Amino acid sequence: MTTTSENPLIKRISYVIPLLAALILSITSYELGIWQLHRAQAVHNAAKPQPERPIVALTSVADPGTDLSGLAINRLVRVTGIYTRVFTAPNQEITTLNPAGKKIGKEVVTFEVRLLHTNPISGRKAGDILVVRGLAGMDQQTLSDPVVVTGRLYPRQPTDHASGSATILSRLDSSLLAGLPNVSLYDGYLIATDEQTGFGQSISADRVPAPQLVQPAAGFYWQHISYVVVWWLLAVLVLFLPFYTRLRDRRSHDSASAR
Amino acid sequence: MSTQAASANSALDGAFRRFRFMAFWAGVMSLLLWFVDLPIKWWVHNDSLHSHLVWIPIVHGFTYPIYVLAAFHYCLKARKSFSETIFFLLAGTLPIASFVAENRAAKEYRARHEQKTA
Repeated sequence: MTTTSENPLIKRISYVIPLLAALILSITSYELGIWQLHRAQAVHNAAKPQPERPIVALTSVADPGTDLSGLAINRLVRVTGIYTRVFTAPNQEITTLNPAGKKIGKEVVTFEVRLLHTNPISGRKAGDILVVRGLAGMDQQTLSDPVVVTGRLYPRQPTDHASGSATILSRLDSSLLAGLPNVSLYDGYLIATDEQTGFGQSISADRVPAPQLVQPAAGFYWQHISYVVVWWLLAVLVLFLPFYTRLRDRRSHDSASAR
Repeated sequence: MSTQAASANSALDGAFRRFRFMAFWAGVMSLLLWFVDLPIKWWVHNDSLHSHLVWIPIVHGFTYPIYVLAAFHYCLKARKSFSETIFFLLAGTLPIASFVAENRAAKEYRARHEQKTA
């Protein structure tokens, strides 16, 4: 009579089941490594400046009263309207560039910010957007006529940079103005790179740089790469395991029978 | 005791010590990852605070392979079964699982020593 441990079918099953489990675990670990590799690549690509896209109308990428979409952030947009209110935004950090356009340092400045009431275009309702015109000066220009503003769209600032008041914005965030009457606010803000009158004349101002936002993602890139190493190491070890345990069992069986 | 058996025991002692150290290390790093880094990243939404914690997942990620190798070596030397080895390897992914694995290994190690001295 054959005992359970000597039954060849049971012996084969007891060998195949760990092998199958190892194969499934190994494939899963390999796929998790691939997933982490894709995430690392995505983070790496997000950290690189994207090629500049053509200037579009603000209304084609954003709507008042809705969150700014990821596609709208960093876009160069053009919008026409009338400035209705003037604010300052203190303690804002800008990157200083040398004449060749290379970053040389950072500086903390006060921005002149205005609320632009946009013209309604082709059935879309009018809205109000915060525009950073440039550095705050001693005297403010009177701009009561319509202006055409070109600039880059940025997401609202999440943290306060100063204490706010009726004319001081603690951060660049249109939700701070939600209490104003008759406004329909766009999310985010615009840093103006150019302003023109309705007749095409350029309006001068002490502009501030409007660079593309890039994610400070270098650390996260290496985090994902480290997980790629872990998952692939696990995949290899787990696949090796059933073969090793079988070899070890065979060796100990051989040495026991030799004794 | 034969020379071969003595050398096997000394290899097991070394593997156990390395595994024990890495189990503590992986456990502490997992606790930091799960209860400090991830909550601040997903619930607090404070980028400047989170930027000080970027080292946690990176250190965890790059030292976890060392834990995996230490656990694998210990399991081979302690002649662990397939399922036990898988548990020891994956124990570093959960906050307290590596402490559980270390505790289990320490109990076995002590039992083995008591058996030898008896």
